[in-house]
Amino acid sequence: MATAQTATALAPAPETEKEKGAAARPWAVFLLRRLTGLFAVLATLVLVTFLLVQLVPGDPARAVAGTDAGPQEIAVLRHEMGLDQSLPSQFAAYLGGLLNGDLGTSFQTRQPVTDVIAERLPFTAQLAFLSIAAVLLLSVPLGMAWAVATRGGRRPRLDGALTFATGLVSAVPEYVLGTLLVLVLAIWVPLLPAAGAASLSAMVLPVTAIALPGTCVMARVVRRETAGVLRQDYLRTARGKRLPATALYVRHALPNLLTGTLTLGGLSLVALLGGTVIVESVFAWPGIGTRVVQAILARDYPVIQGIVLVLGLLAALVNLLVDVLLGLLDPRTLTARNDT
Amino acid sequence: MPRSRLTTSAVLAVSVGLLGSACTTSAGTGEDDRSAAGASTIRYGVTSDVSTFDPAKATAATEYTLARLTYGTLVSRDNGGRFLPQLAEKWQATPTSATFTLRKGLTCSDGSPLEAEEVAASLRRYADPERGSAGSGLVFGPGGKPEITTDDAARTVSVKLAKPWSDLVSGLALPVTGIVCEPGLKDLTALAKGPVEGAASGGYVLARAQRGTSYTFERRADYDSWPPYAGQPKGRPADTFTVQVVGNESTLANQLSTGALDYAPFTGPDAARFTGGDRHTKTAPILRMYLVFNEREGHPGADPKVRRAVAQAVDAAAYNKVHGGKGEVMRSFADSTTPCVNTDASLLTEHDPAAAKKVLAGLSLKVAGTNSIAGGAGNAYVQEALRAAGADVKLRNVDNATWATEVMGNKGDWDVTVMAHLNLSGTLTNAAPLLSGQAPPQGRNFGDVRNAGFARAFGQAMSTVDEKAKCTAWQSAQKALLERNDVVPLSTVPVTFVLDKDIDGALAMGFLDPTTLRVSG
Repeated sequence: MATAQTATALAPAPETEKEKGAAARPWAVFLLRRLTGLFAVLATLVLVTFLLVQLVPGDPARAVAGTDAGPQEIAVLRHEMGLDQSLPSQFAAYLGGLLNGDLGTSFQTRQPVTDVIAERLPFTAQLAFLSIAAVLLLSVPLGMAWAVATRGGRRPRLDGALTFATGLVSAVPEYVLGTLLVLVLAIWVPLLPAAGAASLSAMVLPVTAIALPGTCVMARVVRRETAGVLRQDYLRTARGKRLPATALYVRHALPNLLTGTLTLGGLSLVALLGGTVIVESVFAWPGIGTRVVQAILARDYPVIQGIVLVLGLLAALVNLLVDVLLGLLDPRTLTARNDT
Repeated sequence: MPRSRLTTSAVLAVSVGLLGSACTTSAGTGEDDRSAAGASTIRYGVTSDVSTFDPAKATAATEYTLARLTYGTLVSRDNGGRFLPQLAEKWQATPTSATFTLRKGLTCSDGSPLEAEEVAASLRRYADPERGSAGSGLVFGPGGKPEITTDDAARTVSVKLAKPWSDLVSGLALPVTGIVCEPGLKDLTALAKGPVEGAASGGYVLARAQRGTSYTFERRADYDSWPPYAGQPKGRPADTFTVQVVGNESTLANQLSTGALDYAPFTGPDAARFTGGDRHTKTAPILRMYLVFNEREGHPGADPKVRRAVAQAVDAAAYNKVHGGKGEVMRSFADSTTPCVNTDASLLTEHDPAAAKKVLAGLSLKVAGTNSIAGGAGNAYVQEALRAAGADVKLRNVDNATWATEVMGNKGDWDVTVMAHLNLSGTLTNAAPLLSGQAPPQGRNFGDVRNAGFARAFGQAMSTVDEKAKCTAWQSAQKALLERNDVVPLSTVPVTFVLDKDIDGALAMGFLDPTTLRVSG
């Protein structure tokens, strides 16, 4: 009896009509699921950020008013900021504004929060996208070449040296690397601007400070992925056919190792968009990371809420984009994701 | 796998494009920018951004600096407290009123005449309690909204107060009272955000504002109401004044080193990178540090013996060393550049740790301070000094907003605080409402100090415009506070301005006034 039960449990359940439909329309199911998730993430973000800022100690009106302000000045400010309203009223006003596309007005600068984000996000996006592009462009060929050169235990010294070097560089904190870059390439040898965003050349040092450790980490991932792909039967067959190296590695190996690389790249991009606060500080880069830190210190609730909301939305969208890319590269991942 | 190839190629193409855009840029260093900027441009770097360009709402040092550039005040004050003409050529004052005669031919930045009525409108708006202007109580005193009248024919503006406040003229030298011309008053929202054509009454106009990054001011060719400061250097005012917002002082120092900036203020150790060479420095007090007690019933600070013991335990000279030793050990709640400040060391309680121990041993004390100054290192020194005297000390080292709420708003549980007083007006009056009058939420006396001698002498100081009598009253007021150890003076935290060799300026009321900057060579 027990054996029969186990056999029944192990036998594949017959596909329902619903599951058959899902298998036939994997993209529709995938997008529906992800968009529902996106909405849930946004709703949670709106509520959590609103409640979270209330927990931060410190009166925003007093922070903005300064030490010379008297009780009446602080009361006027508190009224202007809407802080004299009850918490549910404040939330209702915030939600009403959001539904009309209004993220509120900065307590500190009286600018619309959308303007604050529109001013700062492009700077962070430039830095993030260029850094990720640099990481991918450098790490993929480096990691692949590393794996090819050391496959099957060949060149152990080179393998050890590269492991040590990439491990060392990836362990150096961004602020140390940034400071060293400034010292060498801006002060000792004045080749590049030390800070600021006035010229395009000012991007070189911050992008390098972000991309260098990322490249090292990613190269190690690519190396491991490539080594795994190189052991696959189909590549052995391709090698047996004496295909040229370009066809072998670029056409046959590359697409199969991009899954892990793109996933990691997507996560890194989300982290970079979330704020490269330290690098922005070292290079006086007017990005969104430093702005949200300023807002937290000044208890500028609307700016904190607006930035966190937009960054959360961006993170969800980037993750969605990465999943779409992975689905395009390997449709099997789509079915797997729909099953989970 | 044609689809995979297509996607891979697209990813690579985008990556190459983005990287390419970064690599095809000009390698403009600070030196290139400096020569391109020309000799009549001054590039100033700051670590804190500007919250508002509306002078009436200015609360931070950077906002004061930029308000000073853009909006003229009726008078100015030199080091030592001497009044100087600016928009007003002469004035007369009593403890309850002042009349200012404007210079002939004053104009706003759009070229329109700046009449007495426009000046009065700007002052009325600043004085309006409903507008939430910064520090209007320090300018007009406790008497509420003043009566401001004009005589256009005589070019006079008169201010009448309900209660005596002899610091009226001094208050009207503050940048927060800078005169905003009609276009700015008509659109206060725009005024706060950035350039408003025709709003400026000072030597420069805000031409461009890239929030969080840089601000450009251009000199008005028709403006000649520069105050005649005693230390005014020779040279010409810069045609353009740019402000770059740089997140921290190390980066600011890098920008100065590479020639991307011409001058910048430092409160930390990075100023030491510029000793000698092509730069010169000017030092001024920026923060005045002193201890204030929570004197409410039930707190240890209510006991004069405890306050005296705390004063004996803490060494102001040692406190100064915590901040690099470049500050001034103070003898009152203000520094030596402040008119009428106490210089008599005998009024201070002497450092005597042994005597302090007798009172403080086993006593529980909650110390609060802001961590925005050197991470709160000075607060930690106070904690250790009191601990060494036997007290059980809990330190709350928090950011500015939390400290202001918990201590100045009295929403927290604290016994002693390390007060970091900006005192942008550079007057004793600036601190007086913090040490007398009503406690929060009705007033600003956050320690609930009840010192009748101080309150009486402060009142006398505000009731006379005779400088000698005023200083005598202030001396009595400070003596009353120091004898009771209601405040324990520590030291100043100075700001060091590092300037390019071709640029110089004058310290006015202990602060480098940007309108005094001149370019030579």
